[in-house]
Amino acid sequence: MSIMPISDMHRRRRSRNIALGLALVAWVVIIFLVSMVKVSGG
Amino acid sequence: MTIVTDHRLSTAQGAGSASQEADLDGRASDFFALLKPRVMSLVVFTGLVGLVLAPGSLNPIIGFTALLCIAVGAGASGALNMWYDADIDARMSRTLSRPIPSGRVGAGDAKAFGIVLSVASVLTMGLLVNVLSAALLAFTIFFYVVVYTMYLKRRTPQNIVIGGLSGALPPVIGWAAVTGTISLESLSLCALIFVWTPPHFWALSLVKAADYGAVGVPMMPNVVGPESTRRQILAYAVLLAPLGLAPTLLGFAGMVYGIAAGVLGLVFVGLSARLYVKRDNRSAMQLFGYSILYLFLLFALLLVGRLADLP
Repeated sequence: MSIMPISDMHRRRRSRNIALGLALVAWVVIIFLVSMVKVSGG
Repeated sequence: MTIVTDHRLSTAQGAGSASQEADLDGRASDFFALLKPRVMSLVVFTGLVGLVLAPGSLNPIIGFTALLCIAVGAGASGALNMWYDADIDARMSRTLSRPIPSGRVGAGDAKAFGIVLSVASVLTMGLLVNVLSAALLAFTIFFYVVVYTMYLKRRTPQNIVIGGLSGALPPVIGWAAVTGTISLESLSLCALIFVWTPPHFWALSLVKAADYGAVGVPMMPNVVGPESTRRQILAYAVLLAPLGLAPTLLGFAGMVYGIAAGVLGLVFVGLSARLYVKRDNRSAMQLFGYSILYLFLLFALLLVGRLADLP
């Protein structure tokens, strides 16, 4: 079975999904870091 | 599915949905453009100044979080503004290439993007920084999107006068992030931006009056005429110049800032007076350009004055 080539639509979605994923990871990191600061009394 | 109809996007049924939907499947860069990054940078800068000038200290990570929330909240406001104004953006040369009127992002996607970011920025600010700064951020977003964009912009030539409050609040939010309070000092910074906004925008709208007039936005030159607008610009400039001295008079900036603010304010009045006398687009654009430099320099001087402990 041949692999279906990705379309331009998929390429656009991929860049958007990567950006969304990075934003979510950054958000989690910020919450973690601020939590650490608050727990340590900073 | 969503399709482009004229300059608005609407729901429809029919064949060929996949290709049309794909056309509206914006890239990450298109969504970034919805955040109005240039406006966001000014908002972040003034918010940073409020944060640095505030008495007391804030952990750098929490300070960074506060600035990020201000940036995302401002960007969300920009996205919601572009969603609501897509109809008029499509008919003005200055805004025609924005993501929604150019068909790169669907209006529904932009609205959802703006709402999600608004909620996320306010909740994050409230949970990680403090409740007052979150409440101020929520008020700023509400004021820009609902009061300015949805109500004032299309109804009154005072749209950017009143609506300017949303652009003036970031230093108050930054200050509140550190102190948990609203003070006379932070309100003086807010007043400075608030009074700066009308001459800044009206200088541009004198040149772009035809664009605004064509889409029915009642900017001051279209309603009262350029002569009255130039007179009001001069009046605001005369009011703005002494307001620039407020940080020194209130004791949270030094004499170096005070002298520079005095000179910069006089130049602002001079350029406004020249526009009033010469009545040409060149003077209007020079004032518009200088107004951006003026605000940037004042806030940069406040920042440097505090960080370098200038007299």
